[in-house]
Amino acid sequence: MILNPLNKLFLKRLSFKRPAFLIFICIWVFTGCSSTKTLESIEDQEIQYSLISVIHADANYLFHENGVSKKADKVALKKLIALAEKAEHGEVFIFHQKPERRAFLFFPKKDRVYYHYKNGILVNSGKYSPTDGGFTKESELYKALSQNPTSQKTYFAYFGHEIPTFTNRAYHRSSPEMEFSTEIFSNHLQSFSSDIALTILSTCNNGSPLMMERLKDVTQTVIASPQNLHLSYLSLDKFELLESKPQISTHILADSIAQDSFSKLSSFLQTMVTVAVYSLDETRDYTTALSLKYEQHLKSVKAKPLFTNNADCKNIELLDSVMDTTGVNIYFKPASFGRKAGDSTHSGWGCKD
Amino acid sequence: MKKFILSILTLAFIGVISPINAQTGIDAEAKFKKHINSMVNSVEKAEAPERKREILNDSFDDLIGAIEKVETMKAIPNADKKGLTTLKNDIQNKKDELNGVNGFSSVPNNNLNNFANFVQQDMEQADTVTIGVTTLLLIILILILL
Repeated sequence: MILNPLNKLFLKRLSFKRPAFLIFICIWVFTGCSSTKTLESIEDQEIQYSLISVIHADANYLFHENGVSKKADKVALKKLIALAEKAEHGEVFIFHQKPERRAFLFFPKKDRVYYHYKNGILVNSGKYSPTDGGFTKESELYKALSQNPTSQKTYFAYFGHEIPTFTNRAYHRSSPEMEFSTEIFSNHLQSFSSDIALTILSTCNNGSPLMMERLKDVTQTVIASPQNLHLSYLSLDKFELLESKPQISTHILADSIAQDSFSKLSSFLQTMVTVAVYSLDETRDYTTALSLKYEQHLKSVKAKPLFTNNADCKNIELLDSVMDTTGVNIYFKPASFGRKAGDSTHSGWGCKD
Repeated sequence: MKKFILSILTLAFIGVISPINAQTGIDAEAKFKKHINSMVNSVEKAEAPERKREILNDSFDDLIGAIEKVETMKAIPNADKKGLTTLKNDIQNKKDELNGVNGFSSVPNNNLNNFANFVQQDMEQADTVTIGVTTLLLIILILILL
């Protein structure tokens, strides 16, 4: 290769031995974690609630509705932005966990995006890179930017595929080495707040005894599906009640969201629809015993392919002695076809079988 | 100097291709979902129930045939073989229901569009395709060739 003098000079300057080059690399790496753009500065107004939402997009989220292809994460993002713009008395965080690309294998490109709305106005947005498979980076950003860190009313919503029971499957496709599991989810949820009024899991199969046991000290109420959930997800439209009825109880809000989601999903789905509300103050009395038995049961099914649809826990013999449904309110529509088309009830608890 | 330039070029090449593997998996699944979607569209467009039933049966046969061809390949890992068996059984169950065999009542003629939608919604709603990228690509390739 023939190099002209200018190229030779450039390559010489690019040498790894040069301190300037090393400093440049260091700056690139350390500033590569996040960037914030303050878009609008608004006068302090009362923040009555915080909604933190995380949309996972680092996997296949394609689905079809009336023959039209849609990406679940993009649909969820659009809906959350519309909700955030109407949240005049609250603040809304949206973390869009897009696939992480790397420049030259090592350097993160900061593909994840966050949006921070305050009183219905977008005040901050930026790009960031994850530091792990959980929510470490997201919670750091939340703590740094939130106007209401001690809010008594904090809500959390997660949109994505089933949060795995164990760390034995690559959840983040672009970074398979980053682990994610029920344990990681519940631990990292505490880093946002240790007192979350309502957690919404818009995922498949996470209405399980193990998940509720892990969440019982972090959140008061959970909405989740004990079975598969269509990628059109649970609807958060009823969050508008926080604006029209600010004194609404968490229980009534949760029930409204669950009922509305169930009604919307049931209107077009031929598959089974299950949306459950778990009052963890009531379920905590028995979830320890139930989840311990369930973990015992899981040892026998662990070898089977994961991510298969749950079974109703009431049909698992080993759990008979500890089975309880106190504090669980389930909205259930059986599938129109398939072996389970004849089912008329569901306990609200989903288990691997 | 040549070594240095070669190193930079190698890093650049790896940097360019590294995101492709993750993307290939997502693209392969998308192709699979699009294949199912075109089946649903064809069923909905067909007017005669017999034609709708034929499209569904042909599509199930194609899928089962492609999976069986891939299953016999020696290079397929055991974990993928388990995933293939699960997928094949699931499709076979749907075919049995369509035709009213193995304990199922046959899907009525006036419910075939809903049944096609059920097949699609059931396959799309979860991250249920638990087989590797290469295996999935092989199935898609065979489906295209059929």
